[in-house]
Amino acid sequence: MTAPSPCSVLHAGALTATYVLPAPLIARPQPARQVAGRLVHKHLFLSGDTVAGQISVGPGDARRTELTNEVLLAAVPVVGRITNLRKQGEPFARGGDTGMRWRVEFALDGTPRAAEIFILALDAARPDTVLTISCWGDEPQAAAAGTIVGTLATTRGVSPARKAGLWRIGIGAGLLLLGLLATAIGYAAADSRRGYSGSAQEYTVFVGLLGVGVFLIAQGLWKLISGRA
Amino acid sequence: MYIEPAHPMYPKCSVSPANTGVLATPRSTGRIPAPADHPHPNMHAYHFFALFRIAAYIAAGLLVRSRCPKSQGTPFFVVGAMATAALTLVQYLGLFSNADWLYANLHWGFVLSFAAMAVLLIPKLALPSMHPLLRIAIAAPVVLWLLHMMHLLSFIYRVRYLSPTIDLVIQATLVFGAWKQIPASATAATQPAAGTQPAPSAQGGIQLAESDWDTEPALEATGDRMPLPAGAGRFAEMLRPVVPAATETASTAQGIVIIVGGFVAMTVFFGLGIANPDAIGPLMVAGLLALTAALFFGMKTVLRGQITGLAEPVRGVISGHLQPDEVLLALACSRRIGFDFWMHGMTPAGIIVFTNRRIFLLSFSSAFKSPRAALAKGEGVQLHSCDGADRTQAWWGGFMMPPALHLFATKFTLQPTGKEKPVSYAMFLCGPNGTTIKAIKHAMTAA
Repeated sequence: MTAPSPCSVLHAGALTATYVLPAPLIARPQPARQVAGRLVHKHLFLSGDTVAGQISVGPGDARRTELTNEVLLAAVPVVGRITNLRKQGEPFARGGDTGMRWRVEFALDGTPRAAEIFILALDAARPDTVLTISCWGDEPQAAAAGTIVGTLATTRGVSPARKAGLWRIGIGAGLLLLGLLATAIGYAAADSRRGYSGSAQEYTVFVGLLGVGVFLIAQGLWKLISGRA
Repeated sequence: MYIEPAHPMYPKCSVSPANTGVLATPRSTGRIPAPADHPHPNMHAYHFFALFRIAAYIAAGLLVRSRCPKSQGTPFFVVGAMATAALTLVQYLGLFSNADWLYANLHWGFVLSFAAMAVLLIPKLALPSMHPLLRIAIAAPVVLWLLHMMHLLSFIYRVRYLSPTIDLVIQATLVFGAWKQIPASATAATQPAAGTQPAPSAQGGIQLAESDWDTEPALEATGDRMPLPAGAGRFAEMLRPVVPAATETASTAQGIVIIVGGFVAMTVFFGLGIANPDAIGPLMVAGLLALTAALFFGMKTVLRGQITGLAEPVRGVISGHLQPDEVLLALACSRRIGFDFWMHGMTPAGIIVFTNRRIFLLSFSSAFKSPRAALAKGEGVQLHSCDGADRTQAWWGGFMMPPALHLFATKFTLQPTGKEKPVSYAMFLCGPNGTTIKAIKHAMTAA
């Protein structure tokens, strides 16, 4: 586990988390899933064909000083019978990331295993959403979680709904301008013909383009303001 | 000469010169004259009423048939509704110009049609959980006709447009009631059968169990799999006879070649027709037939090609969630119905995967990004699991927009747990996956 693999990017709504995986781990993005009414975005870390870790963004509480079995099994989704479970947690802070770091030892179908779990607050304004990084296997494999957290960089962007709203406003404005331009060209041509013939010339107002443009702008504004998709 | 058109069921009261202020023949045939026949500006209103009636009864017939295809009363209603539409069309177009006796007696055809529709009011032949508005809209014309026979409705004809407006309201109620009618497949009891598996935890699928060798409880971990829905056992029982679909091998490029070939064939036939004026008719028809056949088979091949391209990435995503005894049966690239259908075009808006225990739905947030890229990046795609045995989560049938979709696809509606609203998909059934899905549909609707 020396040579780092290329950067991986986890998109979760308005959040973008960038991290570097130590070899031989590779990231396999998963489709988002609904858990308890909230979306969970996840990348699994594979070592060969074996799942050895994961990074996920979803509901949780980074300040919780107890690691429940449910949270443990969501963070360490192994298959088998877990016994001899021991957990040790400590507060964690690095740069702007704060939360809990958990070291877990257990026997999986009788085989000793270790796991390291970081549950970090995503945003001070949203304490109910956490970023979870976990690795498991033997001791060095579990320690990879700390390495990954060391390379972690998170950026918050525009929420997808607002981004979609901006796009819609842009498309609407484009159509509106196109409609105005086409109408203006038609009007200028009619004006020019009137100059030659002296009689009134007709021109077309591109009502469809103008109407659709205005509609899309209004729709985009609604999305932008409400922040709902 | 202006004739106020007849009410379909009681034509003798349709002529009311004293109140309309226009001339009318004392022996009206009930036909609606063409607008050019008369300068009366309001004539067009009656054309609207006639066209609305035709559209309403066709829509109601299709809706009832799609929602409750196996109900005993459905054939009577559909025949009655279609006959009403057909008779109205005959009346509207003024066909059979030399058959005044036909128009004089046309109302009996309407009476019979309405009687056929009224069969749904008989409890044994009624639709399951029949919508009250549908009952009202079927009963209202019958009641009005009985009142008319007792000469209690003459006041209606004293006001212009009142009678057709009442009809219009009834027809609108009929269509709305048929629209709101719950599909028969959705009205079955949704109680999970005995022996179904307990639902594991939503997050990791865990169960607490007693430890064999320690006093501490042990954890049974099931990995990253999505937990099975409550009705998984019952769904497996339903789909016992269904075998997994064979591997799809068609390609999108083949389909495009077939479509282009169709256009080329049409051009060749048209060219030959122009060069041989004596045989221009058959050659042009042959060209159009070649194009139609190529479009039909080409589109099917394109759709099958999409499944071929997406099968492997989808299997990659789904395989991690399958339980040990769970088998992937078939998958379909489906389009959302309505406005989304037009927005998405040929891009699948949802990939529906049937296993022998549940139904997975991969829904894409953007129509303009490649679904394969979305699956590879895990971006803009959501995975849901639906209980196939729960008729509130997955049901077949219903009216699709545009209606022509009924020629090629079947409506399938899914409401996975956690989703506020159900989402309807047009499921194109072609190729080996289509054959398997037809068998699944049969098993689900027959249960």
